[in-house]
Amino acid sequence: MSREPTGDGIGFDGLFDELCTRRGIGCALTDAALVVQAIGGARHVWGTLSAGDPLTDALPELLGAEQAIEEAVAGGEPYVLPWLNRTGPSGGQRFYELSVHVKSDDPTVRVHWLVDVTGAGRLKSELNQERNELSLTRDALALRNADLQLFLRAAGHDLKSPLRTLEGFLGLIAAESDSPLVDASRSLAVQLAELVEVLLDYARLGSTAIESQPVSLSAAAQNAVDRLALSIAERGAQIELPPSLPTVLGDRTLVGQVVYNLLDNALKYCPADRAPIVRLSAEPRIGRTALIVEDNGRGIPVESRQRIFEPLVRLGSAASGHGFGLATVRRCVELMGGRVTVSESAALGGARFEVELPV
Amino acid sequence: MAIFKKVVMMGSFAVGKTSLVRRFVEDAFDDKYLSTMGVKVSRKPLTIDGTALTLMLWDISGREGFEGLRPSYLKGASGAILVGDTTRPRTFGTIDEEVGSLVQAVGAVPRIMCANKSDLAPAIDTGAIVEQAARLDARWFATSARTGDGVEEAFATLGRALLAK
Ligand SMILES: Nc1nc2c(ncn2[C@@H]2O[C@H](COP(=O)(O)OP(=O)(O)OP(=O)(O)O)[C@@H](O)[C@H]2O)c(=O)[nH]1
Ligand SMILES: [Mg+2]
Repeated sequence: MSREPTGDGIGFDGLFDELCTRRGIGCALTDAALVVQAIGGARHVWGTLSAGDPLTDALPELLGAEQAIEEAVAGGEPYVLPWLNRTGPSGGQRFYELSVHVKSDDPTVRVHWLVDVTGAGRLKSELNQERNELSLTRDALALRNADLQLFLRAAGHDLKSPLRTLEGFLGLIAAESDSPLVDASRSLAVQLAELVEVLLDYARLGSTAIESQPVSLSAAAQNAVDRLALSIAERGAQIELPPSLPTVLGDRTLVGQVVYNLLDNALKYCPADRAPIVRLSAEPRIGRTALIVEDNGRGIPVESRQRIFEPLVRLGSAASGHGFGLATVRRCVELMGGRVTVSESAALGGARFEVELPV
Repeated sequence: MAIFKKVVMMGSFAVGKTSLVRRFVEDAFDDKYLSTMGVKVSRKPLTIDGTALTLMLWDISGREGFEGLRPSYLKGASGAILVGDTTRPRTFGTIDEEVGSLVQAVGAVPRIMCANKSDLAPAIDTGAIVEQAARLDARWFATSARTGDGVEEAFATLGRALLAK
């Protein structure tokens, strides 16, 4: 391999060659036909190339780039190819950046610089790989989630329609029979249908995109009170709402479900020996607002305070609970980037739920 | 005189650009995913209807993270292979943008579209692919870099279009 200066003698003297090599820069002089006139530096780049060879032997990237190079050397945009990816002699990847200039005192001589950017290239490469793999996992999860939603919709339909028929049949039988078993069966069928509904609602949470926007907690609370008006009247419950509650950042429907389920829960699980009292308030937190819902019920024993947010968990023997209320609360809150905890209410003696949401 | 044509492989990350090139050039396949960083050029000599043609296949990293660099990679391209992954419908959306950058860089050069990973269960309708290919003025092929199905035919079709130009 000849690395001696040839041609017009731009001077790849020892020092220059040394510099090129040490700094990982390779340089080749070529004529317009891309035939090598002189070459220096970065031996690992040029391999066995010597004067008289076509430069494209070492840099196939230049094939097809003739016009772009013409333009660059005619004073147009410089021709730069970043991140040329090569397998090095030892099998590892090396990266180079190619740029093309024209010799200032002789425009027929093209200078091709190749800078070794392997260090930066390997870093970028690792980052790239990680980001892409993460993306692939996310895509795969989204696809699986979509499959699950399809399954749920189908299963929901398949479960609900026979239940409805069953209810209907039991109704017909009830008209002709006065056995208490028929009524009991009917109410079980109704309960089962409700459970299927609640289960599907729970499973569907988070399957649609969440739109974060300012949501008024006052409005959500008032709405929940209106929806629960019947239970409130039946139990003679007292709901204490402050004149105003702050606004949080979240999804209107999800916030509505959180407040509704917490109120509903407090009413449902309040022992029959007392009229339920439920108090709503809010406290500021760093970057968040905590909505606090306290009641005068039995409270949640310390050992159950984690478990209580799991689906199908009911404490005690509450009449009408499905076991999805608090699970729904947690799911909604987490979907909005918040968190929910439970402790004991010092003021009312029952449970104290604290829902932190972004503001 | 030998004819060289620069062909760019375009498409989102992990759709199988590198794998298609490897299948076509070396008749090999690797299950492991090693994302291509920057650009890697391979040569593939072909004879099409008696004419010798060497394809210079530019395997470019998926556009994610490299958007700004694309024009310099696309310069001088005579044709393009647009690759989508039939198990990831989103990757076909990217192809529209790719064709946009291609046309901006080198004009309306011949191109074909590979609906790759045909050995796996598809998550996209053939109808959507047919419609997109027609809209992008590209013939399309169901390919599998893993089995080799459709690969030769896809590349040869582009080669023929490049010679006809
Ligand atoms: N089953 C199957 N897998 C394939 C096929 N083609 C590629 N793969 C796999 O898909 C993954 C990505 O393939 P690559 O060829 O690296 O994808 P790429 O488009 O070059 O990706 P980037 O370089 O990141 O842009 C690898 O794990 C391949 O083994 C195919 O036809 N069938
Ligand atoms: Mg690749």
